[in-house]
This record gives sequence, structure tokens and C-alpha cells, in this order.
Amino acid sequence: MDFMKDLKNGVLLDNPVFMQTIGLCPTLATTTSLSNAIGMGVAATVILIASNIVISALRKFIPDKVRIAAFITVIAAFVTIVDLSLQAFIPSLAASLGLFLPLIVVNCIILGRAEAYASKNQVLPSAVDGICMGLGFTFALVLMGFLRELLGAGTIAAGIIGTNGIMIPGLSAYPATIMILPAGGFLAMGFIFAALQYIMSKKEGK
Amino acid sequence: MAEKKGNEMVRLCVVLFLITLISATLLGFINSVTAPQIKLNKEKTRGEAMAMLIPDSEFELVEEEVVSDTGAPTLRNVYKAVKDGETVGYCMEAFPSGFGGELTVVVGVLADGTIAGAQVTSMAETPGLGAKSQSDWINQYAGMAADGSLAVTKDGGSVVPITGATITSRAVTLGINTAASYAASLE
Repeated sequence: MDFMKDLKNGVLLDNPVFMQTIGLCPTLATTTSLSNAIGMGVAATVILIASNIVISALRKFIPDKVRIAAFITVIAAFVTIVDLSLQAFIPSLAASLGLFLPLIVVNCIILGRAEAYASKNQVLPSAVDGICMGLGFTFALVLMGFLRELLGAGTIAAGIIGTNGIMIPGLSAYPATIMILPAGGFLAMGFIFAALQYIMSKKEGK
Repeated sequence: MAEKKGNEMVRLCVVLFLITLISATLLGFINSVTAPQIKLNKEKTRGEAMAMLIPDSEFELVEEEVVSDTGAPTLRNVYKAVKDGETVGYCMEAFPSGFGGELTVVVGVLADGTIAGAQVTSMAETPGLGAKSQSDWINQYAGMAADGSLAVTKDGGSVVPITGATITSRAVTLGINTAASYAASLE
């Protein structure tokens, strides 16, 4: 087992958002700022690791016919645990993630990894898969969140470094607000996809 | 064959039942641990907002919930602010509907018929637009008439709405009006 190779796969070559193009809904919705992106990424990663471990451990016990129902139950349980814990102990993050936290239940990255990987592999590799895919998802969110916050609000890491973050002179007075609206999510995603495809094709060309 | 099929059905049911049973038990346990803390957090947010709106006074609960039958936003946790034995005003939470669902607006109304101020303690409005209802924007309400007549400039009033978020601005104004009217009915 080669952890570094798995990590590289999860974050770059097989990135759930940029390469597999799954989990786009939360990616578009929660990346209005860097702090939201990190919060969503970490929450989804924790749930992904936990659900991968449990589903992998139960894979021989769960009959094939009801596997999707069983997976969703396990995932929903973990999502609710994370949701309640955040509301209790980090209420500010729970407030800013809002509805998107409970919606992790239907995040197709988590069900996708349960179906494609955890239900066919042993516990340890499944946990590693959860970590790598989760980090890949977080990486995608962070990249989007950073870009959109920078252009759309003119700040870097607001809510992480002080309440206002690092204000970019000029840009924070006249930000391109469209970038933190839903349309800006599609714009940012399109440009990032295009840039990554360009880089990948250059590499293959060599 | 028929018997085997029946057995399989039973097995499917039992497995799924066990998984849901264990999940539900676990969730019940987690809920019992976190529920008091969540309630405490909400009370703390509300308490801090009230103390900021009408400082140096003690708060006495008057009414837990006021449901309107005319479609006005629900009010909850109506408190009377008492300073040196005198009623100086009322604080309450209003729940108007904004652009992204319900907002929680803590409103302070002074006994002299003006708005002490308001604070949006929870909302799901658009970041950069409606979410600005949690910024200094809301300070303009302080000192305005608490007779339920406030309106945004677009509707002929004097409240300057958040640029690009008229719906949110209207919601906050409606919440404040509802609270002010109710406070006036208490005096």
C-alpha cells in the first residue's frame, strides 16, 4: 500500500471535483469564502472517513439488495452527529454552513466512495481512501473559495485572520460581487477546470 | 424455493432494521449530550444581543411565543427590560422570512416609543448581499419610531436598504415593525 500514491491520486489525478466531476453542488454552494470552504471540506472529510470505515467493516453483513439504503443510513447518522456537534461546540461554523451541512447526506462523493470503494475493500485501505478523497475534495473547495473570496469580496481568509481577513486595497472597496453569487461559482469552476485541463494536456504532450 | 425467498426477505429486513436501530440509538445519545449545549448557545447569543441593545438592565420573560393570525412574523422570547425598578423597554426575537429562509432578528424597543436597535442573530442570506444585514447597516434603525410604520425607501419609507438585497431589508424591517407594534400593545 502506497499512501503517497493514493494521496496524489485523491488530490490531483483522480480529484473528486476536478477530475471525477462529482460533488459539484456543495462545491458551488459553499465556496463563497475560504473559511466556509475549509469548514465544509473538513466536515465532509470526517464523515467520509467514518462512513468508509463503518461501511467497509459491515460490507459482508449488508446484503447487496439493500446496500444503498444501508449506506445512506450510516452516512446520515454520521452527518447528524457532526451537525449536532458543530451546533453545540462551534456554533459560528454551523451557522455559516447552514443548510449545506445536513445536505452532506446526499453528497455523491460520500455515497460514491462507499459504493465504489469501501464496500469492496478492507477497513484500512477504505480509511486511507476516505482521507485521500476527502483531502482532494477539501483542496478543490479551498481553491474555489480562495479565488471567489479574493475576487468577490476583495479579502483573503476573512473569518480566519481576524473578522475581515486581509483586505486587498482597491479590490475590497469595489469587489466583483458576482463571484460570490451562484453564477460566480460556475465561472470560477469553469476557469479552474480549463486551467487544469490545459496543464494536464501539456504534461501528456511531453 | 419459495421458502428460500421468504428467508431472504426476512434477512434483508432484519439487517436493515439492525442498522437503523443502532444508528437511531447512537443519535439519541448524541442528541441528549448536545441538546442542552445548543440551547445554551442560542440563549447566550440572544442574551448578548439584548444586553447590547438595552444595556445595564435586567430582563424578565413576559411571553414565550406570540403567533400572529394575520400572517405577521412570529415573535418569541419577549423580555421586559427593567432598570432600577422601572420598565425601560422590551426585547424580543422576530422571525421574518428573508431571501434564504427565516431570519432571527432580536429587536429592542424603548419605552419612549423609539427603536433601541436590532441585531440579526441567525440567517441564511446571500453572502456579500443579504448577509450584510449582520453588519453596521442595521444600526440605522436605532432611534426610529417604534409604531410599526417603518418601510424601506423603495416602499416610501426612510430605511435605506442594503444594495441588491431589498428582500432581506424588507424582512428585517417587517420583523422590527412587528416587534414594535407588539411592544406598543404591552405598554
